[in-house]
Amino acid sequence: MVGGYDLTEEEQQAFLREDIGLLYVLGINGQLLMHYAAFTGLEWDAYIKAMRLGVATHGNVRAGLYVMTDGRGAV
Amino acid sequence: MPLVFVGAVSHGPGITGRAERADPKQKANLDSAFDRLSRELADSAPDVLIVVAAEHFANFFMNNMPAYAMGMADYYEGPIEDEEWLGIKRRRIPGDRKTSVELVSALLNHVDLAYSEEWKFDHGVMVPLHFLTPAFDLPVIPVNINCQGPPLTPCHRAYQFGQYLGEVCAAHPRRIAIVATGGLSHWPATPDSGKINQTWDRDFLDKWTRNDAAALGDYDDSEVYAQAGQGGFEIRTFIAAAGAAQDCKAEVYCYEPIPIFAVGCTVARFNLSSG
Repeated sequence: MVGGYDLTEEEQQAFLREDIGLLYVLGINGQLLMHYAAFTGLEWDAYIKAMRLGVATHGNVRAGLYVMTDGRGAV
Repeated sequence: MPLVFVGAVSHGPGITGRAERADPKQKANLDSAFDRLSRELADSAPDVLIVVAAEHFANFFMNNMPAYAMGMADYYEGPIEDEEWLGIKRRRIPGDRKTSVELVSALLNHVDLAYSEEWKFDHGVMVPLHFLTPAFDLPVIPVNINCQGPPLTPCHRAYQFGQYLGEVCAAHPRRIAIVATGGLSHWPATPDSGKINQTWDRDFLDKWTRNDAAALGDYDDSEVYAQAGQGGFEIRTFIAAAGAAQDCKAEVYCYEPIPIFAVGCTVARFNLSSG
């Protein structure tokens, strides 16, 4: 299915692996990503943790609205 | 018939979806303020409620993103999100197509307003209705201001939009209430979720309660992003409410910064006889 969309290899793999942290870093808007995360079974705290892990692993957000977010969090 | 009510509230999905995780005292204060606003809304005896919202890609996406849109349907459905995730059961909410058509027609004299005959309510509308009209029986007309996908309508235009909305409501034969919903500073659905810039929020609320049109219209998105996060873009809904209330002043019934709700939870109302 993912082959039918205009995605890079990294984007395809992040989606197929349900890698929420990398998807966040690649620029998916959190208003969509939080629902996808819930769909994959991640509870709220795990979702926040996955994004923080993504930033720690892959660096700051690369595209989209959150490109300026500092990624530290407060909860 | 005059515009009978103008209020503004927060709509964070955590308010219902993660309700049990908030500080009980803060949650009780917020609930009490919602109850008060709900009673006052009912006392104003509206025929229809316009909810000025900042929806989150539920109906409008980056392939077609109007700056301003109004619902024009007989009924709506929501929440579009998972019921358990949001803590609100899915249902049908009555609309008022005739009034919508009349308001859209009148507003088009001033604003290039989009309209939609299909609209699924997300948490931005459902959370306020859950508290303010818990029977979901008051006809609703949704309005959306794009606060999610920049470039966004400038804040001074959001104020003007509110002014025109207030004018056409005031000239309409039905009793119309307006409730704006949005966040002040917040970083929802990001690793920063839970961060709240209380100083920035209180400064905004000071300008907003005084209905300082120049100051409200002067907000710049770069600065808002830096100080209030991407969620801060939703001040447009509050600013539109101020425009609708014309020169009237507002009172904040509640401002509770609740991190697990990801926002400084605000419940407020304009005194429409203070202008």
